[in-house]
Amino acid sequence: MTARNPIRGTAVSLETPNIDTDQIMPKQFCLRMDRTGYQDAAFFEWRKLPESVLNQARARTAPLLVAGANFGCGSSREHAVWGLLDFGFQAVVAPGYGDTFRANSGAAGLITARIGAMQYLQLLDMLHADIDTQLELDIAGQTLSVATRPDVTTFSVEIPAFHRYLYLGCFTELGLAAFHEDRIRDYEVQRPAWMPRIEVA
Amino acid sequence: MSPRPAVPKAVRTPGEAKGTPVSAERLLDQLWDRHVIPGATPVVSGAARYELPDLLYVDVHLVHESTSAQAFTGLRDGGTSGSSTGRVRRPDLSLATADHTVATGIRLIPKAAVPDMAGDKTRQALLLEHNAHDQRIEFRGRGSGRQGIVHIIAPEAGLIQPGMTAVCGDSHTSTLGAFGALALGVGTTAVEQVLATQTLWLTRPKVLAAEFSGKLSPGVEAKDMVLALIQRIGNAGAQGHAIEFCGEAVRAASMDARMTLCNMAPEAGARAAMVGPDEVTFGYLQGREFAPRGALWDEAVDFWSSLGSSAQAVFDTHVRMDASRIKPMVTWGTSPAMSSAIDGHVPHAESADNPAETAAALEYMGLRGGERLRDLKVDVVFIGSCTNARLADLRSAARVLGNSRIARGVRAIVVPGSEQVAAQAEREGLRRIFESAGFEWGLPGCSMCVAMNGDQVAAGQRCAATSNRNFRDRQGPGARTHLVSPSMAAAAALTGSFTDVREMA
Repeated sequence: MTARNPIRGTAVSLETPNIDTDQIMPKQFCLRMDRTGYQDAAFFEWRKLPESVLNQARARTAPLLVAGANFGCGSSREHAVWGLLDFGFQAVVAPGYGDTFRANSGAAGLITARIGAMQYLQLLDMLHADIDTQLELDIAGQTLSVATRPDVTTFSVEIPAFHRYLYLGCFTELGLAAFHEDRIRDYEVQRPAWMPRIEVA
Repeated sequence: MSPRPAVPKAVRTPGEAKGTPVSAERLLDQLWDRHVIPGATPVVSGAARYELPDLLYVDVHLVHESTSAQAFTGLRDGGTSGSSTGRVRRPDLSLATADHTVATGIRLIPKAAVPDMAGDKTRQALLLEHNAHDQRIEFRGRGSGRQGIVHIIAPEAGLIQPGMTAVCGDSHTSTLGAFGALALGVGTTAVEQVLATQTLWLTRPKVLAAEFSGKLSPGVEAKDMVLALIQRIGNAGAQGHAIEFCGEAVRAASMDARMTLCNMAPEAGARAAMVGPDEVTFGYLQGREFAPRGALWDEAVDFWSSLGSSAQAVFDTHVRMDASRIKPMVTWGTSPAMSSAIDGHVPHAESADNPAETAAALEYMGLRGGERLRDLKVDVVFIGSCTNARLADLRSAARVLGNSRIARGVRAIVVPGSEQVAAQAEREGLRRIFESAGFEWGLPGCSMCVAMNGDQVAAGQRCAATSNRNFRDRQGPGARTHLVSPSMAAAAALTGSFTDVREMA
């Protein structure tokens, strides 16, 4: 994973609220055993409609996905995050996220920026006027601005502190946890004896 | 973000973990504080402490086939490259089964949407069996007598106990919080981390108390309680929270019913749900495979009895529901919050709070505003899933069926949640009741809930399902799902349309 900050480029906008992870990554692709190669699986049913914005050439070069409220609700399948990354998105900007989807995104390196409800509507207005608006998402500064027009509105966005730390530091959650092996071992010795253990026959 | 209210924190001393009473006021904090690996939280400039995650110890890791393959590969690759041992750190705290993709043996519909990608659907299960053997993890496969939906077999084995943490790569892990445990679903990256370190990074959620006062009316079930809650607070109403179910109607509920309540927390936006442990919990656990015995049982019960939110506990959000006023519920849309009592009507999109979303949902569902729910005909009835495939669920559906037969033209399926549930249902004569009524009886698995194994509902068909998600295309492309309780599903099977089970005495 390459941590690039800021993320500059255009956006794809999906305005439907409550897009669940079954929509982002239909079940049949969760039968796969690879971690990459999900670019054609993302939004599979949606992209059956020729007029879907996801079928436009510009969708493949846009690093930002602007989505409606409660994006990524539902199933915990991380394949949804992999699909968005493989499709080419580096960050999502939405008024809210499913909690597990957001946690999975942070772990897998997809930025989820939360934007206020009013600012979201302003952003939509801007995109309706010019869908090819060049945007700039500053992960460290937690701002979304128009790359070519520093004079116009800069939106303040919220990116979880831990996700910023992981992304900008190029850390993995596993790497950070493994660093604390000694502390984990210290914890383990005092676990109560009544807790179950499963011995393989 | 507004600052979180001050929460009394338990001071953890080495002795306390052995079973002295907890001191935090809320169950979530009691569970949380006992599982924090001290000193691991990173220092992030400009970030407040409450924004940052703790590193939590995981007492039980449940593994199923559809979210673990990449995690085992990642673990092995780490071993090859020398960045880790490549071994599962605590196989003795891990349990594996195959549920999402396993065949149930029921008839596949002629127009069942074939998975769009080629590939043998059973490969994931075989791979997990291999990975589990390789890593010395207990794998409970078909025919072991203990296979089934992961969230059903773990409690059955007594593996989930009060005061524990449990994770699994599946959102409905929240089910297990019914035992007074902190249980939640994670993604595959986290599965790999748990395999490797037995820990998980987690930011402490807020707590939403869902208090159900009063008693349920006959014919109304836990499924109706949780659907009514989701309708009230919305499908993101508990986002950022864990839900604690409490109140008279929750105390009166069996463990099977409490699991149904906690199961659907993700449909309200919460990752975790819990119920304070009590005599019902202890009674369920006693004598089960992994329950402590002898002196350890007494020690455990002493500790478990000290768990639970106090009367002084302050919750971030408190929702009060009157259980006596809840009626059997039916969802009409493509979100679990889009529901109504059975005596209600399909809403008019133009008068809804979210007209565009409602209109899109009605179009997908083939419904018009103003239609009576009880007039809607069903094509398929599915009784199963981690929400409603336990013994109590099968019993309540069978009670409605009695000696009657399902309506002509309806296809009805029951898929028990586990081999143990199936065996007991057989002993009690429940299977005979279902089959005599015209139901197909499947082998245990997730089946037509996640619909990954080929068990699908055909496009345009209407399905009364006891599962947890009515998302578009969830049960198959174009499938129209209505979520209901097991007894409401049985009633729909008998009459061929949604029916108020309270009127079927």
